[in-house]
Amino acid sequence: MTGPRLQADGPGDLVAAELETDAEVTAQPARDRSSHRLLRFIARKVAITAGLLFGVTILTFLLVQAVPGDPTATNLSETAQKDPSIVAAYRAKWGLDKPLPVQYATYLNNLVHGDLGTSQSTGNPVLHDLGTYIPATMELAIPAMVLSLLISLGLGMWAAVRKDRAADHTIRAGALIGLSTPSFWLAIVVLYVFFYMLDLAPNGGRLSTRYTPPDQVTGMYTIDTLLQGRPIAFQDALWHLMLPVLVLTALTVSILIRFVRSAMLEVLDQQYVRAAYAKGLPRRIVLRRHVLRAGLVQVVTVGGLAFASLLSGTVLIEQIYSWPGIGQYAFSASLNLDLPAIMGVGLFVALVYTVVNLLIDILYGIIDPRIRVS
Amino acid sequence: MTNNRMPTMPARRWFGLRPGPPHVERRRRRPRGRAVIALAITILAAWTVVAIAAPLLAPHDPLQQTGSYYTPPSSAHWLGTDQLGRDILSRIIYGARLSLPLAVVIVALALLLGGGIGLIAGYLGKWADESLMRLTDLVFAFPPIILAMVVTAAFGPSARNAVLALVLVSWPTYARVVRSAVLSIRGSDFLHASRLLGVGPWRALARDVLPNSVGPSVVLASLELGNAVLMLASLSFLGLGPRPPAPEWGAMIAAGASDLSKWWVSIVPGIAILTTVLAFNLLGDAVRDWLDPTAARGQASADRRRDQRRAGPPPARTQPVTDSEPQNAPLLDIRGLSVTLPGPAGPLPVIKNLDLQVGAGEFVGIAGESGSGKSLTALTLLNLLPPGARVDGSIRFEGTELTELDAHGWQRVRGSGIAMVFQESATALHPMLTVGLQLTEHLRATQAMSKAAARTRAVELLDQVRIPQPRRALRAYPHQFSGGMRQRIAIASALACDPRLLIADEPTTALDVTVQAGILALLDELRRDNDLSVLFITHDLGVLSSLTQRAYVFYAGRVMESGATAEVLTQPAHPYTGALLGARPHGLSTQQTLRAIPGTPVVPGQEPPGCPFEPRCGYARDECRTGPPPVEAIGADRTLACVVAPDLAAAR
Repeated sequence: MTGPRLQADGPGDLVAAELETDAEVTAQPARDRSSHRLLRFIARKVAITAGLLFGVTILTFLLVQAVPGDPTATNLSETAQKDPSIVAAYRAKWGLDKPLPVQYATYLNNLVHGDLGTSQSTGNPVLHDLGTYIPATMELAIPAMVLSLLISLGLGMWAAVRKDRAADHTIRAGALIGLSTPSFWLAIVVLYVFFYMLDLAPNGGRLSTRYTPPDQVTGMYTIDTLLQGRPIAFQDALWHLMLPVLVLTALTVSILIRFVRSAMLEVLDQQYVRAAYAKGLPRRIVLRRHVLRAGLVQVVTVGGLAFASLLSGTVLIEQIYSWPGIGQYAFSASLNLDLPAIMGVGLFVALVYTVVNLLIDILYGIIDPRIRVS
Repeated sequence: MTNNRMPTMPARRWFGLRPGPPHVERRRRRPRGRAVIALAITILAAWTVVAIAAPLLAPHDPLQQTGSYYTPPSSAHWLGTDQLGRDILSRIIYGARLSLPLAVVIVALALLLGGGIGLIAGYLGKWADESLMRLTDLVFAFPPIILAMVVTAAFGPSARNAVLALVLVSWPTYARVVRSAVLSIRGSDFLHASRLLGVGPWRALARDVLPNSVGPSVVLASLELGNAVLMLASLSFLGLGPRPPAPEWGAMIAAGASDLSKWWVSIVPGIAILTTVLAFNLLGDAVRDWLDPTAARGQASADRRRDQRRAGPPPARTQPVTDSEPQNAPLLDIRGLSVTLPGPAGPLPVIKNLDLQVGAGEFVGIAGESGSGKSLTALTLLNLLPPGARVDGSIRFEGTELTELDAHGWQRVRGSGIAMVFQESATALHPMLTVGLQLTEHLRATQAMSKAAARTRAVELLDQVRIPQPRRALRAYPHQFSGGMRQRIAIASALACDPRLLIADEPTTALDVTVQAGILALLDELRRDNDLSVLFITHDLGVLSSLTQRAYVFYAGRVMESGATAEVLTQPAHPYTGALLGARPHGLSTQQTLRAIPGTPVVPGQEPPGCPFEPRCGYARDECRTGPPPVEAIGADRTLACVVAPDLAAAR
């Protein structure tokens, strides 16, 4: 007769033989090894960041230098341009008369010392400008991101579970329409409906003119007014946030829903979901604990990238709602060929992407224990 | 059972048995899918016609400034006039001449540039790849709108510069896609072979590598067309696109943004953009679904539901094979079970008229080839079939009729009544949850145990299945264990709620033989200690012989033979069982040839009209082709479904 035979003296021998090798696997995790690995991991990421930022500075520098436009021409008035001494003074002031490599070297040197130069259009140090404009964009991006994640996780999961039924089709159609809508147009339509027609929202801006902006602690009006103890101003700031956050959320949700849905669909196919049902678990536990966590890895990736692009690409929304954020700053810097400002924005954006990627990698490790080992 | 009170589980796709012809089948498009594509093509065709026939369609000259500024829609100007008195309808019509061709140009150029770079990077590898990929990352790091803004502002706003800027911004995506397509084929054998045959590197590139990248590039390009229109509109909204007075839709929206009371100036151009981009996106999705089937999500679900309604009456039940006395009623009593799964051409019968019993404390085996319906039987017993499946017949478990349960009823049966151990422990345990959680969650959910009590029970279970250091194991994750240990954990999890029946679906197939022995011994021990009944599914007759008391031989969703395992395997009555036993390589010398069973297993939906084994059977007669042989009792607790076999037995 074929087949394995049972040991006469019981199955213990075979089992014990197998167990010896496995005992090492489940032994005490080597904590000291893993922290060393973590440090190396972070060091490598920092090195890559530095390289990326370096590349960004070169890219922006070359780009602006390569263009036919002349900062002098864009920033000086017509009459001023005719006067050579003024032009020369301007060029000397901004170091435009020195050879290119020297200009670049000077810039890098200042950068290392924390000096991002002075904006040619605003006259302020670029660092100071960034300090004002970045928090304004953050004030839009963070609530939009949080809301988008919550909504897209919920709707995406629902669409996945109700695949090919009415709910799924509606959600997907909605997402597709959202993806196809120009952001600036949606912003105008929303403004038209809620401000012009219904008078429910303000006409842009961060704060009604009757309130003075709060002292800068974080740069975000909502937080700063609270810190200053001005609840009415806080409400006003919140009121001004409504429309731009609404538009940003709608657009981000459209992008995220598709990814959430496809991630969840993939997970719903997995054997462990079926095994979870086979154990007698109710559906809400299976979805919340088994399906959601498994699909989260993919969602984190896309979510992170969405957040990075929210932080850096809101120029159109800011334009319509008169929101003085980094997008507006980048726009006026581009129009004026304001090299320090453009490079400052570029550096900020690159930094955002790298930090976000780092956070994503860390989150991976938290969500999926298999990744921690590698 | 023909009512629809047996809800199937929300898991959306099945795996394992895939009915349908073995060749790659063209997916049948749902009517709704077809309508959507038709809509997209209609919209795009309409806009193309508008663009081409603009001079004929536009009521006014788009650049002509009439004296009436900002007039609302009227009979003279259907969409009103803008801030310079120009007819908006005409400008929108002429706008199509800008947006559509420019978007196509942007995508085409980006495809060429990015595709070329990706091709070079992927093909040349090493330093070229590394440096080009770093460049790609660099451009990726910039948000597209800002980069495009900088470039157009720097070079001066114009249609040409906007196109160049957008090409500059979008080429990295194409580069990455083409590069990965190239990399996937670079290591392939046939490329090596062609190089060995003397095909030069550049010819190989053109002939073999390039065509492989066309598919993904086309998919990407079609998806990016809509994006190109949006980006172009965004740039011209900012004043960085085609120079005024060009009637670009984005710029038209900008004109109306400053004065909201003149709503017609902004709103309508946006609708033009929306419809165009929507049509492009729909088309892009369709192209992707068509060219990249793995990305397509099953469209067959709607078909399944339709087919479900069209399915005919349930097949007639055979007489019960054994008389069941009430006091000796088996733990599991399946009578006349028939299961159909939805298929592309209608419902496919995958289990036909099955009778099966498992008594208390028994170890019953199901043997059969892949596709014989063994795993589906297991899934049916737990109601884990894919949506659209139909179940007819009776399944009685501990006196309850399972086919009449609702969702809550099933939840009570699963885990505590019937439990299952799956084939691959690596995929059946959640990789991101600790072993402890996976062992305690159902204890706490279905039996309202406290956390501490559940942990104690979990440690007990791990002890029972011989996992060392169970307390530490609770904190570990499945991937930290070997295959054999994982399967033990799966068994522990299945036993947690004290089920009466354990279904083991090929639990040791993925393990090597020594580990397998341990698991089987464990199962036997557990069965005796816990008064457990086990339904063991396998394709390995040796395993069947060492453990099971009774066995069923499956083929094509039917029972061919059943009885005491020893009898069935030493004195097989059915030709199929005989052929299976004869086909084993065990004990053969090198002189003997392997007696494989000729032919291939039956594909559901393509069964022969008579006995399903008839095409491959050496003893087939004419009457085997008339109809499937009925299952008959041929002895005490022995059944057979063959019309020829009794004569063969008599002849011996």
